[in-house]
Amino acid sequence: MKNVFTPIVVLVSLLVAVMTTPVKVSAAGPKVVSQELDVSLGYVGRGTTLEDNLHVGPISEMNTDVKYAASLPFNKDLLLRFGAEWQRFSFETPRAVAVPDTLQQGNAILGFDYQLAEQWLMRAEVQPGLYGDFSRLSWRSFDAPIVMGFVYLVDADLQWAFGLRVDVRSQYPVLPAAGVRWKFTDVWTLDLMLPNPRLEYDVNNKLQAYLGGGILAGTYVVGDHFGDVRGLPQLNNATVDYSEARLGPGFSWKALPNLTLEAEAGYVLYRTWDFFDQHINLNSKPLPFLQITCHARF
Amino acid sequence: MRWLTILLALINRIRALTKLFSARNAQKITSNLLMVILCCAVSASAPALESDPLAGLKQFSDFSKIDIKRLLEGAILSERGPLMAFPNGISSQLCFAVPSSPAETVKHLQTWDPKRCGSLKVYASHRLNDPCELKEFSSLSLDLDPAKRPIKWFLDKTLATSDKSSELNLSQIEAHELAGCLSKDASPKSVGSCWASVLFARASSFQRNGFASMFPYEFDVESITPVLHLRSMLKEQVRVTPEFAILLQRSGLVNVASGFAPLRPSQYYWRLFDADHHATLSLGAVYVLEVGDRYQVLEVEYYVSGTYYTTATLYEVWPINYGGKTGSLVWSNVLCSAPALRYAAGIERLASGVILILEFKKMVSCFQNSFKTP
Repeated sequence: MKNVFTPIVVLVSLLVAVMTTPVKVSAAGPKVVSQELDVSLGYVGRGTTLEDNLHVGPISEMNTDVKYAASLPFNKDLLLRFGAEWQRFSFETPRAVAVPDTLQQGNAILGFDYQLAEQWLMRAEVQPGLYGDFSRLSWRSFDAPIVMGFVYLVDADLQWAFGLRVDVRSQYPVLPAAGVRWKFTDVWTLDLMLPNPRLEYDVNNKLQAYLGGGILAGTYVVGDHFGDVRGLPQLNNATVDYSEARLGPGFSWKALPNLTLEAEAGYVLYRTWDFFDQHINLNSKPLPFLQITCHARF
Repeated sequence: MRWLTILLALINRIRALTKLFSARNAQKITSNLLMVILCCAVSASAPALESDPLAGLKQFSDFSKIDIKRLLEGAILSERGPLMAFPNGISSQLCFAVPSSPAETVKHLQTWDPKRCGSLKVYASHRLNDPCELKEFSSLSLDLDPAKRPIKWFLDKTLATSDKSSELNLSQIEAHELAGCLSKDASPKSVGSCWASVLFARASSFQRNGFASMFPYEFDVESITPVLHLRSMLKEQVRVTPEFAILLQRSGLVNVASGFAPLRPSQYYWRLFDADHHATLSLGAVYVLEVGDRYQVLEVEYYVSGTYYTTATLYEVWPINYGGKTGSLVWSNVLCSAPALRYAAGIERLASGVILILEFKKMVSCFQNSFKTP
């Protein structure tokens, strides 16, 4: 069994290191908690799916994501983050293909935001939890991916970002990324930050239109008998990398100062279930999708 | 300062209780209590007449190490303020040096022309007489060039203002008057003329009655009174407010204590500038207090037409002499209240504080350069 506790040890060590670093504590020291709640619901239409280039029938998808996080100032430069997330992909499969009925994750969020230098901010998060098809929960489903991001603020209109996702169970344990947010006119913003890069147009101070991309991805462990019922016993307890890449237009409406609703539609250009250990890969041809999202701040 | 901690805890408890009352009553109660606390805080101590600038700075600022040599070479020190309990507020401190005496520096602070520095994106900046006249705002009509996108935005938002709605910081009476004024002629010249009346009324009222005259902004989610925002932010500057006790009281920003004569601003001004790609009008006042061999300055934007609500900047200016070079050491603390901060998550408020520093540094850099090219 791979050592899934390594990321936790790394992040806890990092947290302890940062917290024990002598940082000047503000005189006032107000403890201001800010809270975020993000809920999204999406549907991906039926489309041709191939398993190792062989047609296995159409597969539709429902996806749900609920994420809550609270941010608590520890001192002037360090904010602690706590929260939880539940994400579920539900696939309607026509027959016993090597696609799980569901892929789910239920995880905690533990991390921090920190000002590294005058123009540098960073965020580090570990997301320990269960990642699997939830047919039978076990320690095999436990994982703790780490996400780290660094932002360099050039000015109010231009910011650069550099990120890293570490998941030791994935085929690609370390995924680096870079992005930029550039407000190049009063109404146009190029926000190339993963996982949702966008070209945004401010219609007015409440409504925004955008052309956006989106990446949904995760690494999961399927059940003890997942392969047996599909005639592929080698897939019992197998690890699968699931990912999809989307592109489409959308609208963002600030219904209240602290509540934003988004709706977007377009195409899932790429979708894959990769049982990389067993060299079994399924992918879909482009499929239409519809997604609604709600962001609330308290 | 234990008594202050207890009082702050008490105010938070009472704030929670005031949710039981109407918003207006709650605001009044909280405001009165804030005034009591501020008065207590600013009465706690007063600045010494003569002092070592570095020792003085360490007492009330966030800067623990200051290299005068580097500052005289043009370096600008900066520290983002801690996240405030006040949800709309952010603060930052800066420290820099300029090659002139404190008296000249303070004078230059009021007379330099920010329009000459392109990075500040100031379209117009004018001093106002005391009392001011309507004609002192007449050039505004000429400055509203719709070919510039930020100004086009401002013209559009002005023309969209009605009795019942506006995206600009206005009272209902102002919105009514503005809409009525523009009902017959919507040209940029007419917009300038109508805004001149609004600004003139606000400036005249402030000159007559000071901070007590500040009309609320009534088209936000709730009515916004800028002076209450300033007091809420000052309340959290627990190390800074005692240093500026006399200036804050004499200016009237906090309650005037008996025995202190009110201080008139030494300068009033209006400005038109770009804030976050939007043309923005502001009215400001500058208060100056000579304390021994140094100066204290309070600059307040008591009216801002949009993007943010209000700002207050406190300056302390000391004479310095290092390696044969003389000049002034300037410390400043800028407080800004903005609607976008109200529900900004933790890291977004950190980023806002950084942006405030970067923008303020631009201004300081331009101010320093203005000594080289008088």
